[in-house]
Amino acid sequence: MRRFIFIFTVIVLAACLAACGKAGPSGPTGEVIDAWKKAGLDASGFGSSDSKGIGGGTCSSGKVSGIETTICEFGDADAAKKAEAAGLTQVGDATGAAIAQGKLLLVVADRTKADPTGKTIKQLAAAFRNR
Amino acid sequence: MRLSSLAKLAPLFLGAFILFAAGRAEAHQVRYEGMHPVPAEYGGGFCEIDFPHVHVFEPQRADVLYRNHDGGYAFVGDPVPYGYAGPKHAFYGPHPMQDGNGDLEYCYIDGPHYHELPPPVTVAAQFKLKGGVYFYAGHFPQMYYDMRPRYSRINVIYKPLEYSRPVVVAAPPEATVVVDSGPRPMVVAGGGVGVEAGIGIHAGIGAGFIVGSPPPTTVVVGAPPPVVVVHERQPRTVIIEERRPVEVIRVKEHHDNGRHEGHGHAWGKGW
Repeated sequence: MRRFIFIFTVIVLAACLAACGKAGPSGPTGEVIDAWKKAGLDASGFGSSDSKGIGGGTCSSGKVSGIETTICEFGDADAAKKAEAAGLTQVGDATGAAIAQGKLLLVVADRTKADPTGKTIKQLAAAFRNR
Repeated sequence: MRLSSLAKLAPLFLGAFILFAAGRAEAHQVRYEGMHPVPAEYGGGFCEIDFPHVHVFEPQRADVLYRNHDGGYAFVGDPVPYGYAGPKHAFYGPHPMQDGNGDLEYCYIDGPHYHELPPPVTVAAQFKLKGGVYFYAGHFPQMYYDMRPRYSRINVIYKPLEYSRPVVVAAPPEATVVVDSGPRPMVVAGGGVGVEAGIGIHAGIGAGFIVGSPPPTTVVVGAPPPVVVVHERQPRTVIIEERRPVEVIRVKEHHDNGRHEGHGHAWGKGW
């Protein structure tokens, strides 16, 4: 019986660890990702990213329906707004945008030309704003 | 390597630098304030991003199709011929409008056309909505007239485009002022009274129909007819009629014994 309980506990712990490992960012960034999923967009691969180029903040990057996407959380709304220009610099020679809302900054870049009409970026930004 | 050899290579280095610089210049970001057409060489169609964003291409015919404030291009044309299929509002003739940047601008398109946004809230009271089409019944500021020689060239771009324009079978609302500088001839037809075209000011009692686009600096003032019908033809194609330049037709007065059946002219069937 003890052996059975031990094996069961190990399995439960393993499952929990696996689930925890797959969990994406939490807090406001997690809420945005949830909003995208609710809007029918495919948000995946989000993890911490370097925020030096975007003027600090805590950033997470991933892909949303083929669009390279970064969300950064700043100390206040002014800092997020000021970081828009730096966000556009990160977009480089792709189609993209940088939008601040509250303490969050959203940076999107369509590097693979996955969204020629901009509909996905439009939908992505709308879900970000209306979350 | 000798100095003379280096001197011979100098043009090569210069050429390489120019090519590099050109490549960098081509890749610079261009800011757009909202939705806009995409040049054919970059895939064509219509970009539906409705907030400030960047591309690496310049807009086509930015001199008339866009207004540029603070370094961003705001498209002011009719989006439909470029493939836009989202919500839209029908207008007839020049009118104030809100561009993608939220600024008050003026549309110089003659005849029936669409925009993504309804009339700006600040001047909405000066628009008359009849049969789903907005007619501007207000005044234009001097700025509108000052810029007309430049911006009215937008009609040269739209005239040859074949797309589903709103087909308007109506007369302008009472006291509607249609001011236009387009090169197209105009026919003004009084409902059951006569047909007339020309340059001048028309003010009268009775029903008024305008078919086509008016000539430069024409002002039309007319009372509404009893029936206003606006519809979009199905399938979504519009026959654009080519009209002969400046044709003046006068038709004798016609009485229909009070039935007021009119002539059944269609508004804005073509250019």
